[in-house]
Amino acid sequence: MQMAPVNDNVLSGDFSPEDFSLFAKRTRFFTAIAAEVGERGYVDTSVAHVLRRAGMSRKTFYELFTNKEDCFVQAYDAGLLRMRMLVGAAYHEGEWRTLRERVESGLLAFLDCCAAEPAFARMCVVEVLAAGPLARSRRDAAILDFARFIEFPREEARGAAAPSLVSEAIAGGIYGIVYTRIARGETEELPQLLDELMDAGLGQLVERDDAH
Amino acid sequence: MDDREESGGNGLMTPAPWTQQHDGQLPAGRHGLSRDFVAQSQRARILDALIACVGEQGYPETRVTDLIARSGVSRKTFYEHFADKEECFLAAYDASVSLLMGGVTAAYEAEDEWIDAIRAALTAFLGFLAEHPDLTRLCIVDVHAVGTRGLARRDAAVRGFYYFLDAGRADAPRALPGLTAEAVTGGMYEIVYGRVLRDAIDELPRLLPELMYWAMMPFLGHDAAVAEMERLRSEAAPAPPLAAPAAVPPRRSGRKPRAEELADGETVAIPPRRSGRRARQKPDDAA
Repeated sequence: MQMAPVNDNVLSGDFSPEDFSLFAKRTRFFTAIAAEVGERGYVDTSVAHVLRRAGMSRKTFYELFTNKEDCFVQAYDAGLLRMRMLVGAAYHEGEWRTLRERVESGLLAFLDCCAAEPAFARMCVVEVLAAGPLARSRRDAAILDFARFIEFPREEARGAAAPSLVSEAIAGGIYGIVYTRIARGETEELPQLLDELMDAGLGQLVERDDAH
Repeated sequence: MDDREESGGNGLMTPAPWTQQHDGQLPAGRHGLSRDFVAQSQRARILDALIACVGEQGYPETRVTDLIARSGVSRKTFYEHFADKEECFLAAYDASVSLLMGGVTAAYEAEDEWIDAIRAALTAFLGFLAEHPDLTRLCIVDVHAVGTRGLARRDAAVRGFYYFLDAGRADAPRALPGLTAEAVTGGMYEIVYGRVLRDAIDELPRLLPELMYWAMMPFLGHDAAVAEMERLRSEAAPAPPLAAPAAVPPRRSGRKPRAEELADGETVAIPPRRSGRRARQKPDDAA
């Protein structure tokens, strides 16, 4: 159902000015759909809303996306990719730090991303569940992705002693808490939850202190 | 699309527990049944129809017309019971959740020690889900498509589980934040949700040891959680052919053996682990 993705690899030899133009337009649509969906919910958002917010033509929209769902899913993927890069960078930065400190930085980067872009956060965390089966499976994949990310510190701290299912559970636990806070309109206060989130399972998993 | 209207064979459409005492439509014409019974039976049929339709085509695609056709009641009767499709869904949701919570609460309250109570509750929870895959799908996945009233119901249902877990904070060796129970519950929800999406609801009961690790680890720490998980894993392993003991051996906590352990002969001899830490890094299948 999806269209051929826009070539957004500027380093590839065949990245043309036309690609650049499409890439820029696509980004405007992503911002617009995140804002619309964040404000009025996925179900009540129409393509017309997105066009008006983006200040773009219907023709351009359908050059890039097959429908509202396609636009939503592409925006979701693009946003999540950026978020993953920020979380990964925060985790890996400064290799001399303890495992707990690195995990904490990664989690904080995630919470900061949500707080900095409340509309985007609402789209990715809350509305994605209402946006149909394709979006739902993307969210499922994203949770597994974050779970895979937690697998590194789990493995480093506990090896095979802790089941890898716990990484999925932690990703889901954090997701659930973030979900309710965003649904309640407390998105900007999310970074304040860092210590509590660390002490509700993730910290116990990656810290060896309690083992002795 | 295969016709799943007859719910007997394929296991996908187990009848909801509130309809198990009767099968399907009442005889037409004068039958001498009381009005209340007729109303109950119609209501149960409509709820069954909703569960079947939502399970097959999802909530958004399900129309009142489908529910009428499937349940065999008239449009007028449908609207006597429910204002609209949403109200019908919420009624099915509430009925499912109260059945689930009833079983989980009873299991929890039958135990004295918190860890035993959580184990019993989790066992009941996973057992119910595996036994009623259609209700599980409705309560875990489809409820998200029902709008704000659906989400409010879901939040209230999930909050019901905090109470069980939160009791563990009092005995935890370290001070724990108030949202610990919420985090653990959210993790459980995610595991279940993922299995529903991947059509693997039936594997949930087998995840008991790992899920007990997850439930205990934030409260009791990694080591105690590993001990619990390993004990449950060895319990789940098939019994050795000859050395099956006559009675369930006592455990370190001295808790009562659970009913199903006594009921079937598959109980494994597990020496009570009173001291000594298991060798960590024991290779297992967690990969």
